Amino acid sequence: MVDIYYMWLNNFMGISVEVKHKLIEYFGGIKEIWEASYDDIVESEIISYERAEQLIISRLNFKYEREIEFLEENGIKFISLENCEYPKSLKEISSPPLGIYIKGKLPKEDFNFVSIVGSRKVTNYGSLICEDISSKIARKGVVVVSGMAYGIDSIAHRSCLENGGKTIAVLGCGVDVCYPRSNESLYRKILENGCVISEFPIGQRPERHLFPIRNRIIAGLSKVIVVIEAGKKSGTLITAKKAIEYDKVVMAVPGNLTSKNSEGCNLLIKNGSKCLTCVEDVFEELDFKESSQLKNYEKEIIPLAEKEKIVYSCISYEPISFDEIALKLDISVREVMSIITFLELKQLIKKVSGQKVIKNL
Amino acid sequence: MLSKINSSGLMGIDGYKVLVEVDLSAGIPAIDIVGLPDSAVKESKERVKSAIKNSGFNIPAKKIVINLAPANTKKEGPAYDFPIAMGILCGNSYLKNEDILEDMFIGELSLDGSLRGVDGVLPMVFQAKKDGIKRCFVPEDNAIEASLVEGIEIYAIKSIGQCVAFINGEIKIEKVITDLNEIFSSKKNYEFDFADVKGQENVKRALEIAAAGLHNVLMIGPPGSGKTMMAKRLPSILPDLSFEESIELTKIYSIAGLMKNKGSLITTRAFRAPHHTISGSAMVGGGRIPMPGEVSLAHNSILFLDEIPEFKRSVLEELRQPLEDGKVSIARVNGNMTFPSDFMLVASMNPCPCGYYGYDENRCECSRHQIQRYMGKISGPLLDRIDIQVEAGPLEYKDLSKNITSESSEEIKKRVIIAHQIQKERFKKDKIHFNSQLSSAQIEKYCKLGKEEMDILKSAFDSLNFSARAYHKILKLGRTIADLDQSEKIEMKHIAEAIQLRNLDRSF
Repeated sequence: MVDIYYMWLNNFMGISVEVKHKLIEYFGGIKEIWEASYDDIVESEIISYERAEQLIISRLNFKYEREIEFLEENGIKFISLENCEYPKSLKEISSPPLGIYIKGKLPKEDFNFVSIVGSRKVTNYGSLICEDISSKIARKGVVVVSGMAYGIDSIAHRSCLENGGKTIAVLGCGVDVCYPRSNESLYRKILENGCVISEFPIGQRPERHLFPIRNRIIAGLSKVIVVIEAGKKSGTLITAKKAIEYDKVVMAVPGNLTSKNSEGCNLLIKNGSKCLTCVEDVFEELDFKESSQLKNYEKEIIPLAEKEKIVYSCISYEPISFDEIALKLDISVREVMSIITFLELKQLIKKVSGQKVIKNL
Repeated sequence: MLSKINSSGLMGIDGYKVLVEVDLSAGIPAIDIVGLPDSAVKESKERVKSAIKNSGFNIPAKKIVINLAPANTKKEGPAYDFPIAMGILCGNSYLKNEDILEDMFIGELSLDGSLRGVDGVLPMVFQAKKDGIKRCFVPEDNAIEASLVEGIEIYAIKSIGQCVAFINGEIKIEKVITDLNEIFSSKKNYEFDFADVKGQENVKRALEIAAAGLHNVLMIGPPGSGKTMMAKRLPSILPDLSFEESIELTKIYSIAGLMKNKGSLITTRAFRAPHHTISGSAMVGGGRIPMPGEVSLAHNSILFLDEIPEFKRSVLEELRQPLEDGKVSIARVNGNMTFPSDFMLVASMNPCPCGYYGYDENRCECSRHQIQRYMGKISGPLLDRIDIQVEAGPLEYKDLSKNITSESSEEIKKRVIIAHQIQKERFKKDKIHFNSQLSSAQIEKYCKLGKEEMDILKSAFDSLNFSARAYHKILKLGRTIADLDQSEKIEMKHIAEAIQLRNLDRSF
């Protein structure tokens, strides 16, 4: 029953979480707020007349049977602050959400959670690094937490799932709403191997001001927050700032000084965040004893034909165009094109924009 | 007194015989034109009156009725001035009608009696020859164009006075004769050559493949990567037009009024690059009196759409029918017109509205949403008709400064011609000519793969995120690449190369 009260107060969007916590403190419990009269609430002087009125009205309109029925039908769970399933790490942050909606299966907290956050617009470099880190930590059984936005977020989720890992997407809208829409298939895959969570009520549309609130959950859930590519003024930096506030380990992937997309990351490093140079840095923070286990997953050596070897030797992490390869090796561009397909199929290289290729990590 | 003069009208790209009947009878002096004339034809009586008077002839003070038969089709344009004038002159006994029963007259009159050129003479003369006409009198401007039709005498006429004198045997005019062999055997000069293009070898190769199988191409790249430059050079690597193709294209140009002072036959492939503000009817043809649009002017040639997402969505959608059928049908009250439009579509676009997404991260300011909307402007069905999607990377200084001579168009053309011949041989029994036209049933028949090739294709689908529609395209492209290699079988390397030509199917 306590959960129900929490659900009601959590769903009331008129006041911030901080104020809700103040109310609980003032009244001494969630049940007391539910039972408080209009005068009691006004007397507390925590919220205005109008808000108090709205709160009372929302209490009258709150049909908990219907809510619960809907949640059950859609396989969504609501876990309140007082529920034993509520993630402990989240409880520790200042003004944690009163409750969270979970669609899918929340991985146990015995697992290590790592949040990977970054820019919506990614560069080749960002996506390469993100893929690498996410897939490697996923293979070690680490749960990847991110926000299912475009760019780094989606790549982190996807690479994690592709490597058999579990992942959590924290949404800035209701858990039943897939935003952005084009991530529909990713959303479904996440539900199969992890969960989406949100503190916002069912059916809540994504709104601008909700994303920073959501970011604090991403920061709160994990021990380690990895920042890959962030602009100078970005939501990613808000997440990092929150994480620092919550005493989490923030690790930033350094970038080129001239790259706008890495300005935020470089700024974090300058201000004392850990500089991430290889995936082992993450393991170290998670206190993984030996990283030898990873070696089992190292790519086996793939036999290459003579020509493939020669072409492969030209390709580095710096994008190189088909023309340049052809010119360097003095072979025709059509030959380069077909060899590149073979190398690509062997997953040794990756095609990036501008008819260029880079080595896969 | 009644006289009958042969002339011609246009229906779509074909001419049809129009008989101009002129009757002079007693009554209140007036000139009436019947037979669904449009306003240009109605006004012709004023021009004809002045022209006859100023040529030194008289107009009888009689009631003159002019009928343009058949009476149920609309007649348009000023081309009937000349036959009407000749009809009146016959009626007034300056000429004998019997002398000109097997002749045809086309032309606009000036008030001083001289002749001006008109549009669409070539298809009209073609029809005249079919109808058994012996002599054709056309304005000087149109004479060379008309003389492309063999087996009919063409006379270039300066004025009606000269024409009457010639028919009455008072003066001599030389027949206009064009040597078609000479036109065809002369070397075609293209303005642009692939030898001038430095770098972008992979795009050049893609265009070569496109030319070999007549596949439609989409080039994606930042501004200044040379997309337009390379597209302009495409006509120079396509095989020369055959005589029939030339005539067909010239007919269309003739109707569209683009032949004036152009000389004779169009022997080089056209390169049409309409601006993106073009309207739907300018693109596919239309108007009250249907005229061929850009797609028809690019018949047997190249239609280049620069910055394709900037075109109006509706205009792009209208391209679907001509791309599919190779012709455009325009329905009007007085009948359906069909214009041929078998063109090769070459389009170019930037990766995002500002043009630098994916190439210069610091410069691109577009939001994700903007980029998606920009890419979304080209609909799936249209994209479905574009076989090759190739990326043109930005050009760097080192590319331009390299001292390597690129292959000339002439050399590329040789390979393309061989590929065309192979396809012609293969599709002898089918109704198609090129690999790009293969239907899915025909793909099964002509693009058989070995087991190894099949495996490559399968793993490409699994690991490179290809969409289903890419499957047939890759097979078709593989076929063309094999043809360029003069290989009977589609080999691994052919399939592997084809995979690189389908960039948009992959989610980067």
